[in-house]
Amino acid sequence: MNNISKIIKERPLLFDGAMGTSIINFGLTADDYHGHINCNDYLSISRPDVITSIHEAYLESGCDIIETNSFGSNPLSFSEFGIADKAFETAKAAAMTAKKAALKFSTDSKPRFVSGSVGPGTKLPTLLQSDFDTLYNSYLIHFSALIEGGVDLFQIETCQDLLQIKSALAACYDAMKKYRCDLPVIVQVTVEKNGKMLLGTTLETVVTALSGFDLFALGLNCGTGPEGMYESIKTLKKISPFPVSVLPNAGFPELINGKLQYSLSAEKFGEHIGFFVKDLGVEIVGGCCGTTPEHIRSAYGNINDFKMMAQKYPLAGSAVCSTFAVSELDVELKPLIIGERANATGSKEFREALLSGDTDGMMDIISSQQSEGSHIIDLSVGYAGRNELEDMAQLVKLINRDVPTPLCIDSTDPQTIETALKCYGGKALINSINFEDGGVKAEKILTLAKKYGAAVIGLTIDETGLAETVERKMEVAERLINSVLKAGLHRSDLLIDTLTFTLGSGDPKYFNAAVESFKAVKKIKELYPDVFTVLGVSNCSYGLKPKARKVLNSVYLFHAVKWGLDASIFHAGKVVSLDCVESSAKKICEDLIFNRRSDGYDPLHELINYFENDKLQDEKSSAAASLDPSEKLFSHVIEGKTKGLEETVSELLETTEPLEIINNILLSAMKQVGVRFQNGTTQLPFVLKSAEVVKKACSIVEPHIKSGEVNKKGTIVLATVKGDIHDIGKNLVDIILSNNGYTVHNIGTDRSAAEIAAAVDKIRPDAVGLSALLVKSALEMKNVAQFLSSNGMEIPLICGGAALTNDFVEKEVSPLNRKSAYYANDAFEAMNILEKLKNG
Amino acid sequence: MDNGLNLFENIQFSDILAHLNKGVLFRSRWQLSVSEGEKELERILEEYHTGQLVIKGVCKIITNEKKGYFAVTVGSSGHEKALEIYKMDRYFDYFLFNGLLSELAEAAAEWIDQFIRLELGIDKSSRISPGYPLWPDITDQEKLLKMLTAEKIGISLTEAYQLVPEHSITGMVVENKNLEKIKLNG
Repeated sequence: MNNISKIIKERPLLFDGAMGTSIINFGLTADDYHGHINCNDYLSISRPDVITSIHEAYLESGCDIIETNSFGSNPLSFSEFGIADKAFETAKAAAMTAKKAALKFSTDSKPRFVSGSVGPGTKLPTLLQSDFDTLYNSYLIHFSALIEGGVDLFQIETCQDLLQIKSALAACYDAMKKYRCDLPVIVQVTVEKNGKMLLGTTLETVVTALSGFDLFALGLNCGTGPEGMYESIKTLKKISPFPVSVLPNAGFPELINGKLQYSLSAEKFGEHIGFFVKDLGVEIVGGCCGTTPEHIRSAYGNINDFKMMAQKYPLAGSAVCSTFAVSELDVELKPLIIGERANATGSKEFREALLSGDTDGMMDIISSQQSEGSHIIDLSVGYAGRNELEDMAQLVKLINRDVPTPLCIDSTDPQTIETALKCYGGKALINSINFEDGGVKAEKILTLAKKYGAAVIGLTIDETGLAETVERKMEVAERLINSVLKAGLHRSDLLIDTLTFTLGSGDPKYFNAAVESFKAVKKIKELYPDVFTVLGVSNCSYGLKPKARKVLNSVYLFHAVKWGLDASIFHAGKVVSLDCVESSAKKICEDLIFNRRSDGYDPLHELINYFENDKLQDEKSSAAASLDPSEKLFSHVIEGKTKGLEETVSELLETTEPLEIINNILLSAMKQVGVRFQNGTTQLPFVLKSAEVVKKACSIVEPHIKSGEVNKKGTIVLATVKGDIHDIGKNLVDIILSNNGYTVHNIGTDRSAAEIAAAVDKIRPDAVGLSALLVKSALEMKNVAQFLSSNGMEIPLICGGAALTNDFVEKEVSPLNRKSAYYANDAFEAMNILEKLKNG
Repeated sequence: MDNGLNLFENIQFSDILAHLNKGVLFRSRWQLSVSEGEKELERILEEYHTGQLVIKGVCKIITNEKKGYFAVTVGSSGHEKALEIYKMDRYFDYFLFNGLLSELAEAAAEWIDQFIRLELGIDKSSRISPGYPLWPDITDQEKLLKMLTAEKIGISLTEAYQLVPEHSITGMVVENKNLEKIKLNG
């Protein structure tokens, strides 16, 4: 067993700091790169002495592990420099260089290790910039070279795309198999300011997607300094089954005394690292961009004598996920719904779109199931005469990129399933496996589920056919569970379908089909509570007329859930809520389901007759249209929809005071939009759509307000400072503030301090908002503060812009202003500040 | 053309579109999914007659140094149109249109970069602009614009060395093996 795995139980592990930003200090020229300028990896071949001295500097500062200078050493990344063929030797050289340095410093009491660094490259497969196989082949060379060079562990780092991570992991494990070694593997993702990865992936999603892999650690690197990582670390600590590794940047690149530097001092950096380890329980730390041996020395000093407490790791949860979001399998309000409208054989609409090549149409059907309440979306494209592999790949790639609802791959062909899995970064569900052929295909599919990280639906079918009795169903169920465990998956990765043969056949053999299924569901939940149960709702009514099917399906589902069913495969149009079913129809269905018959009473005949005679009224149409106008207006704002807005507002004006409409409905809806933006549920363009609705609605309402009545939350003067002509940022703030009840005086761009002061004097606002894009123009804000102060003006400043930081505003602008200056990252933060100022 | 200027008074819009980086536009600037982005791009291009924008460029190629200096601009009419949209209270469209202008400028820079590379016969090159790490002195913008007589395509500077109109890009294209920190003389 690798030493590292032992050490991490006793004390934290310390990585080194930045390689790239250290290389800059050597003032290398194009010759040093043999002409391949910008390819820092290549220095492992052309100037290994430089790399060695960087390694040694870090080893001297006390780190346990150094990373190889091989971040981009694979053929794909190297092809951008025209040296794809040199990738292997470069990666190997990087590993050997690091290994030599590590061995020089390694002692029995403090062994030093080498981590093979593998970066993400520049192509994101989820955005179709590359594909799984291309990345895999490139990574296979990368990992093989590192193994040959003697690394002790791997770091798949700075990741931004789940699908890229999976291609790297596949190559990593295959390379290790080839060389017969078993090294620890760390995966690190980069999280943006909003707490999500570049493509919008949350950490919960990352953990779900990767929890099936045997990782040594899962963590973060790059992106922000340590301050930006606290929330993410706390999240990982709460949900991740793996130890956490954290390698922050040395803050952000900032303007300090006129020079661009990474802002965080070694001392502060070390303090944060100390806090991560001692207070948050982080097991592995180090530094990324901008960190130096001093930073690592400081980190070392802060964690040196710390003995790790025994850590409890949460068990891998039971969930599937897309690129963007997680669907827990254990939903509170059962059943979990697997939408089945994207089915070439089962849905006429979908089939027609498929056959006519209408990709947009297919994607619409797929995405619309989310608003119908589906937690997972089933996709089945197999159709006679078509190439299932091609159809599957094309659609799954788009689904991976665009659809937040997790995917269920509906196919029994291992090749098709593997094709789909290679296009999907999240954790998919596979529908399905069974033992019809003795288990040959099942084993293949389970191996794929383990390799790519997926959950599986298993049917209670074996060599003798569909299991009909509880006993037989349980037999197959247990066989399914054993196969799943044997493949290295968890019980919670399995959903068992206890299959109900149609009750519409009239065949006495199947009178108890539903009962036996329900009993099996109950038994499974009793004996194996962490295994899930699923049933395909429409199966029970196959052969009957649509109206009859709808009602029977609905009653069947209702009872299945009562017997313990977790999930069901569902077509929203083929099931209704029981309130919409007439009680006499319900009774007939229940008699059929539970086999309650007698001489002269056959519930199946009764059911057929009931719907033949058409005395059934259509079920009550859904209550969609009966929202009252104030609710309608509220949802116009939330959804950003202007269609029908005028009618809704006019209707509302008949019963409600204009000011009430503005304050209680429009502004409070807009406030909710702001909350959703700040917690990442919605994006800026949609916030703007909502603001448009508010603006439009206000313009209809305002003429009805009696003069003198308008009350605004506050007044602000907005300006972009002198020398700067950028207005988009300032105008966005204007839009948001104006449509949240503030009066905004937007005096434009390139405004001098004197012009701003004149506006303050005239308007007497509650605050002044200053915007600037460039560093040079940000400095102008200091002049504005100074000017206002020396003219006796007491007015708070709110400052925003790309080049600004909290520190700059707090330390360099605020002291010059009589009423302080505050940094706002966006319009909503500006609003929060305005509210705080108002409340004193 | 040795040491001469190439002036482009109206770069073909379809050429610019060919260099448009949709990935950055949709995901980074617009924060939309790619399929949402494609729909909105089509609509914005049509609804606001974006194809009528006059995109200009100028470059100076110094053959013996294997370097080319350039300036491109989407022009002030783009920004004016953006403000019109803003005044119509079409915030969503304003936001999208503005992001598109920035990416059109980038695409124009890509286009002229390609032109320079073809003229110089180089294929591995870098494009650097003043104010970035390899060309730290932003005041060089003034010298650069003068060298290019960029006023001919309507580009000037604010006193903070910001380019006017804002959707303009200046810089230098150089072969990778000649890449080093840049400082303009005179």
